[in-house]
Amino acid sequence: MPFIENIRLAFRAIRVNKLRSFLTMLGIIIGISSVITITTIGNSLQKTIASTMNELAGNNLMYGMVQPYYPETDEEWDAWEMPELTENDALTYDKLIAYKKAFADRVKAVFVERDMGTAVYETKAGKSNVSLKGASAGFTDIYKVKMIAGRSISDEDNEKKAPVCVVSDLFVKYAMGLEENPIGKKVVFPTGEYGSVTAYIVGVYHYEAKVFNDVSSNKSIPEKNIQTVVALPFTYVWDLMGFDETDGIDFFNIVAGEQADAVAVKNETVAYFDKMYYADNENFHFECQDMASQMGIINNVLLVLTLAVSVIAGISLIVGGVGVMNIMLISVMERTREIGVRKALGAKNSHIRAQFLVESIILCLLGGVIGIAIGLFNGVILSNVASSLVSMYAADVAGYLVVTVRPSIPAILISVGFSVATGIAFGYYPANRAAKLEPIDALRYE
Amino acid sequence: MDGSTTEGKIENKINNCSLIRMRHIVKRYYIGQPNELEILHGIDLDVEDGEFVSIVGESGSGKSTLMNMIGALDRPTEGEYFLEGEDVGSLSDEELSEIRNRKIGFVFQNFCLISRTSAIENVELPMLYAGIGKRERRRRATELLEMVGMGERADHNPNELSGGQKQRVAIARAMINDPAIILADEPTGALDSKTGRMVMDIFHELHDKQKKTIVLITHSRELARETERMITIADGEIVDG
Ligand SMILES: Nc1ncnc2c1ncn2[C@@H]1O[C@H](COP(=O)(O)OP(=O)(O)OP(=O)(O)O)[C@@H](O)[C@H]1O
Ligand SMILES: [Mg+2]
Repeated sequence: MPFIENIRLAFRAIRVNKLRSFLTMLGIIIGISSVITITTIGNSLQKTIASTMNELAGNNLMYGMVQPYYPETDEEWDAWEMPELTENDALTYDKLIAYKKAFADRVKAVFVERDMGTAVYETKAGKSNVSLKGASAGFTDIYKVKMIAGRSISDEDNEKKAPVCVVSDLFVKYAMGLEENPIGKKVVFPTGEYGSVTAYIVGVYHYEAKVFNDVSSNKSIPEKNIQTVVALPFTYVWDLMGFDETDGIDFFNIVAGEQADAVAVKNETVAYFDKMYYADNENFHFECQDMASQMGIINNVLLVLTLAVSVIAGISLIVGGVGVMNIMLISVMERTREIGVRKALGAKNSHIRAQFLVESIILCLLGGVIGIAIGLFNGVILSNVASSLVSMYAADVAGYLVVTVRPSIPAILISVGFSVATGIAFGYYPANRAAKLEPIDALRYE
Repeated sequence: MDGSTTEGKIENKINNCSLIRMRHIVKRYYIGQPNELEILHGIDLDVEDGEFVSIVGESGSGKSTLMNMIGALDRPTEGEYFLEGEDVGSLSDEELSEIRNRKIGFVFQNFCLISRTSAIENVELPMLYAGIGKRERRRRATELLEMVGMGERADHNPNELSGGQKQRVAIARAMINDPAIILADEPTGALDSKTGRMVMDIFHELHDKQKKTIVLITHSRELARETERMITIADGEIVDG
């Protein structure tokens, strides 16, 4: 008896009892759909993070910062006070430059920035809102902007605390009203708090909405009204803002070289700073966080979540399987006479067994497929909801967010496998019972 | 050995063996229990190839029980049964399935068509179990449905057919694997006399034209008299024929 014939019979039997079949499948549908939902979200989240990080700085981006030693016990916490950051403890620009020199072969960029707030730049030609940012060399690496004229902020600018700046092409066009090269032009930004900031333009970068994402990424804002970043040397801004050596740098970015092993660079960086500045320091130590291990944490959370959901799904599959077995036993009983007739016509035990086993497998598989469909639907919807929440509440990173909705293919395949396995495991006993009926007893069954 | 083929028939002739040869067939129920019941008390029966035999007797006399034994649906408690020279008692369940599939064509009083399955698919079923391909099945089933005058109704499900039509489909189904014997247990029992007549005519045609061996159980002496031989059973024993 061809297999395809059994499949037809199975669908016929399921169609005859549509509601009953659906109710039977429910356990399997719930189990499978929850697994597919969670794996779709998890997989999408992973892929989104991975491609977003790649967009940001690849997997080589790290953060360096100084951290106090936090107490371990509750009693210690009660007595604990945040220790004072001394000149020795604080991260300074010079320390970073020393580090950069020491790691020149393994590190592509060491970047530190300081926001100075916004200013309104106004000339006869036009008017523009700008945000002033003190930046070390590496501005183009971190923000991934392209220079279209001149050069970016350099180490030398910082060393000299040079009054120079890098502006956007939009600024040149709309605020200065210039079409030609503005390099060398003097600009003065009136800031409320720090007075007038004077700088000479040394470079122009191409503005891209997603790079400096903020409200201005909103497409409804006319191009000429977009607020763009003006980058000045970090040290220049540091002085303008009235900071000195005792004011530590909170944190800085490190981009490991493309060929370098990011994990090794991270460990060596921590060792370097601890040895240089925090060897006998009881209050502070150096800490480095990398995207790759952050992602590892997220992956672990997702794994635990997936496992937990899988256990629940497993239970609902078992419950669903018992339901299938129950319905199959009823089905065999209802069709005892049919089984008798089939046997009278020459069906072997194996034919009858296959017929009912296939019916049970199809029932479970159908449940599995419906479950997968529902799960994918849920997963895609929830992934999109999550990403639009991010865009809404974390607008500053949303520009970098590369939303990727990717169902987990292995999870789908495993689900199909489990559905079939459930069908076999719970369908075998009823099918075998049908197969072993005596022909004459089955035929005379009332 | 496939007895329905010419070689099988020749072999029977050589062994000088009847198509059906039953010796001292006994059937008991509830064996070993206080209410043990003996239904057949040692039946000896021979049916020759090509015979049209009827079995008559009181209700409860054991006709169907005997018929089920002939059709390899049930095993006798005691006794020997040879079908086309083959010792049926020694066969496994699997082999009995094959015997039913290839050598026996059943026609039941209550038709026993598979529900929600079209007439033609019902007719094809024994060929499906015999592992014959779709095209050949269709061809033969169509041919047989036309023979019983049901060609037009091939795609109808049983619930769309009258009793007589159902029985004609059932006869086509019984014939599909060209069995050695047609076993019909009160095939006209659920039909009015006119439709019953039509069904009887089909049996006569099968017997006359195709030389089919037919064993017919009936309550009607009138119909029984149309057959070549009438066997009367009373209380589990053959009393006549
Ligand atoms: N499985 C069984 N268990 C116990 N007794 C049975 C069983 N099958 C049949 N019998 C008994 O065997 C006897 C003969 O039954 P059978 O069906 O052969 O009668 P029948 O001659 O075909 O009658 P009818 O003409 O009414 O069909 C009956 O008394 C019946 O009760
Ligand atoms: Mg009977």
